[in-house]
Amino acid sequence: MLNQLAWKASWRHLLLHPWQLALLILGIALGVAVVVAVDLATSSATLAFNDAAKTFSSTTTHQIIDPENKLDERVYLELKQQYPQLAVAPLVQGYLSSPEYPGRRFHIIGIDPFSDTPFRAEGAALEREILTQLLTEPLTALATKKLRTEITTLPLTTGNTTQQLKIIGLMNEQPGTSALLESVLMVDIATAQELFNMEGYLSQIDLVLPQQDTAITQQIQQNIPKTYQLNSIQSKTNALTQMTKAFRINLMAMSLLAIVVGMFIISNAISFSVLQRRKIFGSLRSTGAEPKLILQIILTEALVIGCIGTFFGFILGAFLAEGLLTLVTRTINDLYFQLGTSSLTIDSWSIFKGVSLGVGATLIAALIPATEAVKSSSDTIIRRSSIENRSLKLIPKLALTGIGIIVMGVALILLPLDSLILSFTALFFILMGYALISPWAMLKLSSGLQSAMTRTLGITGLMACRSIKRNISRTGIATAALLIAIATTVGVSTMIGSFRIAVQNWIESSLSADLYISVIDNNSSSNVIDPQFIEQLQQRLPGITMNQSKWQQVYTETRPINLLALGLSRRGFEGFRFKHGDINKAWAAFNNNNSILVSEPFAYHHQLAVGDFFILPTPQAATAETKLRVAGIFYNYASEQGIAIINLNLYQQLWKNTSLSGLSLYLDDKNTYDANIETIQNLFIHYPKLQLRKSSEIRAMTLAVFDRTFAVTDVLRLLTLIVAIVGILAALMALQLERIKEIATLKAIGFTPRQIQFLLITETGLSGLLAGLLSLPLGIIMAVILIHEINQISFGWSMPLSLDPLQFIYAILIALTAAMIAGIYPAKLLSKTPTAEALRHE
Amino acid sequence: MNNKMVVVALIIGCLFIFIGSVLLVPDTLTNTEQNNFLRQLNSTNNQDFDKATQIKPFSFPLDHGPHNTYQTEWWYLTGNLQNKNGQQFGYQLTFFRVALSPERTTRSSAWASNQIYMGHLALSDIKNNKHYASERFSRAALGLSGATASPFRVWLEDWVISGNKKSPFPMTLNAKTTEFSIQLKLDNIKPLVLQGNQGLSQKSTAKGNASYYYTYSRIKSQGTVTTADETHSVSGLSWMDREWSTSALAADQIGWDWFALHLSNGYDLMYYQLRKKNGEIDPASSGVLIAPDGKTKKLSHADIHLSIKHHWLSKKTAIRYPIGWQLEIPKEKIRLTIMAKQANQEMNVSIRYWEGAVQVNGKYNGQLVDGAGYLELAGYQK
Repeated sequence: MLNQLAWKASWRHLLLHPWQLALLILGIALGVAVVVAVDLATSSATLAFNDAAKTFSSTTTHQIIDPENKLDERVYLELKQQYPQLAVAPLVQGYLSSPEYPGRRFHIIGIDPFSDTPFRAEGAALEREILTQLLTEPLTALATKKLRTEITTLPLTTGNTTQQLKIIGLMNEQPGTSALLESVLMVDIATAQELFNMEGYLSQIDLVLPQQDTAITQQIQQNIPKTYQLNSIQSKTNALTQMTKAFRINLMAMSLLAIVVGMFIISNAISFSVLQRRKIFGSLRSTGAEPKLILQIILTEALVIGCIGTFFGFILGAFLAEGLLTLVTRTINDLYFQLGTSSLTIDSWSIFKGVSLGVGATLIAALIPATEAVKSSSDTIIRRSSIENRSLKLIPKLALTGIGIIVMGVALILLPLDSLILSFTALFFILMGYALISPWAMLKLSSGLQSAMTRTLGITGLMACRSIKRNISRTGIATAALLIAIATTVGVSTMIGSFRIAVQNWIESSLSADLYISVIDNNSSSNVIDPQFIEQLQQRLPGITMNQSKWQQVYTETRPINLLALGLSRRGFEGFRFKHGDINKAWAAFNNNNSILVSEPFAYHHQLAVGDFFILPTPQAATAETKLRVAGIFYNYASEQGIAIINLNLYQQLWKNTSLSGLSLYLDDKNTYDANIETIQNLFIHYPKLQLRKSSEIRAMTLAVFDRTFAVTDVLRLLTLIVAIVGILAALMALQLERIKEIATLKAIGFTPRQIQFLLITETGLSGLLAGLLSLPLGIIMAVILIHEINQISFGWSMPLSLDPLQFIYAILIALTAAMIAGIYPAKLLSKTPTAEALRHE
Repeated sequence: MNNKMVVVALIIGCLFIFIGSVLLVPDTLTNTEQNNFLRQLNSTNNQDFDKATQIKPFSFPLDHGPHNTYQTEWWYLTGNLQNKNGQQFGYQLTFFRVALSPERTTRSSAWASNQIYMGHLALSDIKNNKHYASERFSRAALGLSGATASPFRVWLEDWVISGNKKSPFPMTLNAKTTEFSIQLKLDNIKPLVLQGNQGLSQKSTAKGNASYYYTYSRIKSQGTVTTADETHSVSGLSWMDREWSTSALAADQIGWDWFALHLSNGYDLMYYQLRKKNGEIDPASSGVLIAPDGKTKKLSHADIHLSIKHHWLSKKTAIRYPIGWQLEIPKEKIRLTIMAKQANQEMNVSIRYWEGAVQVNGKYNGQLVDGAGYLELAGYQK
């Protein structure tokens, strides 16, 4: 009998407070949604990462490439003849854009379906009719299901013309790789050669070499022309993993942050719902209900609500993830390599995390107040003051624990280990510790503000200040969540802001020339500037100052190196800002052809200091290396992997290659500036592969890429913030709604409805303001850790901290507004409730 | 309270269904589609190819080379070999030429070609009951694969048969895979035989459903075969078929059983029967009996009594092949039992068929004969 009554009481309570129930579920759903969204987006992106190397060359162990992208196809035929038993496949590939899909680049992969079978499943899976078309009809292609349903012919821009690529069939999409293949078109090698004007040439040759047989590898190495490179895929995949590790860890950290905020919100929502009913539970206990029963009821309720919340959380999370994924993919494309647009892949681990957070955190959050409700005598449960009293006693202890945790976090940072995971752990320790101190700080701040509030707002101000102290057990967690979310916003924004300023300064100083000429697409065909063009340019603009450059990708065991060979004037050299090393000495060493300049991330990744030797692998790969002394370490934010620079003369000696991939021009005479540009542009008509960029364009582009890179971080941060705001909204609203009797008493002693409204909004506003204020120091601490620890470790970039006061004002405003909005509805509602009824109600 | 439990159960149930369905999504994407490349050699879309519609004078050595305007063509070598200890081997090396389109379009890439070559190489190691099979494809471009009449040479990467300017014989055969290899010197004992009606071999009553077909039935073979364990010096007899066509099978035909037998009395026997979907044998089925001196006698469907004595079920493909036969030619007083030397000689490649060495025993004109040969069973997959 009592049993049933007790279950009904809990059920009815929830049904009678639909608003609270809805807010409770919303809180849980939001917490789960953020975690699931971030997790899904990052894991999908990670999957795409991992597949990137595998998809196009699943079994490939080695590749033969020509740095000039002009690999003679006869090399393939010779290989085939010399090693008939080896799996060898030719590949012609490149990137083209389509007027129909502006901004998207299509990766055209030309294969020979027959020799390709050991590498990709394409050839073997083709229907005869499709194979026939692919091989015999020019400009036919295979695409993903998705692309094929969108279009039947894809116009592609090649040079000055547009060619129509007919999509005749489907590619072989392995599960989970469709995301990757979305912008990929598979064509016959003949079509690819014709598209890219590469008749007679290949982009690369894929090989499967027996792992244990190094002799054959060496043999092949010796038999191919010296300018070609035989690279092991192992090292390439390693390099890829290395490259993307930092980015993935950053995303992971964001998802962890989301979990922390999500947990705060869930535990706040559920513990409030339990605390609120201590009276009901007290009454049940006094009528003889077993503590076990009460516990059972609370936990069952938490489980049900947790499940519902998790369910909605998943749905919401999936939607959010779609959007996030686009951003993540874009960042990957900007920073690393072409991924196509990713599609969402749902893995069980994300689901596990979401469910354990939604259901698990809800249960744990319910367990604490539930055991408390069960343990204490029925008499004290009824009195809420007893809880508040206990909470007040607990707060200093919490603060002390918090300080302890912060000390641990700081100690972790001071450890001389460059570990990202450790740094993030330290960051979270500091966050958690700070959160534990925050209730104490709130109390101190509110009593500090007491006199000022009284002076300005009268009795209402005083009451608002004191109510913070009284309600700390309920608002504490929610305010801490808001505080952490806002601190994160401040911290991350400050980091991004400082970063942006550093990049801006760097680009201003390094882009000293007026015009930059490069090859449009260094993926397809050759990235070499036609020597004729340079000749003609010099003829038409005699005496123009021109710096020449040549990009060269060099493969080492661990990561690919971006090597830039520069033919520089002293003036161009002035553009470098050196972190270590003297510019005059570096200039002398640079011209002595025995030294190398490295960018800051490069020095970081290869652990180089000025004066160290760097061993540069040169074209005769296995046999030849060149030892170069590091003459200077310069600031450069262009490449996360870093750049190494050598003198163009040295490059030409080592590589026996005089081709150029870039030119920078100084147009000093402002009078002839426009005329000169016109001259150059006229010359460009004959060279469709070349592109001309003004330094101002490059500047704008760099910053655009920068902004896009941090768009993900920005969105994640915003998302976390929104969750925190909704969380505090839910918590405060529920809290206020509970105060019917208190408000009625105030009304009975003469408070007008307006005054009541004012009081309630002031109260919530005050806690928001305090959370905002308290978040600022934490935000700055976070920014410092992000800039000097985490960024340094993951990217190798250093930058000065620049604080933006506007950010701080925003942060406080956000907290204040969120909290005040949370007060509006309860204030309206409570001020309208008839006094007598409200008093009787309790 | 009961209601409550039901609600709880429902909610948890819904949640699990939701999670379950989400978890299952990637699996449905799994592509289980098997290898279906070139499931059939002859595509139905073949109007523009040349067809074997009438008797044409053959012209050698030109006709030893490719006939690119016909859709399909093959150089088909099979043989029974043994080493000095009597250890038996069967081998098959076939070069199929497939024209993807009747005409070659002019394109700037040297890779472009309308001709592709498919190679099947198999070795039956009878003593060890092992069957090795390998398949290759290549386009006839950049010298990767192709055929020339004079000098005679057919190749697919490093699988090569070659002769001289005038004739395929004496021929060298070289074919290697990572598992096994065959190297043979081949010389014909009997002259070339034109099959069917002066080389026009009708495959059904419909006009054009025919091929140009000639045979070197008895070829002295000597060389080596190498399996995983060792290299064997071997000798024996081979058979070579040359056939080109555009549409060999009629719509109602599903496959064929082809016999190429060397008898100990010097006679060679070729017979193919074409099976129809309804289980009947097409009357166009035919064969030839080649005397030791090379004289031929045509055999028609009515001359032959053929019955199945033994079946074998492939564990790999679940296809049931008839690998034991009784063949009678009453008017020639021939009665032969034909039995696979080993059951597993299935070619489980892009086209599934059974092609294997067979042992022959029986009577010819009252005299006991034995012999060996090759049996091809095509079109048995359901």
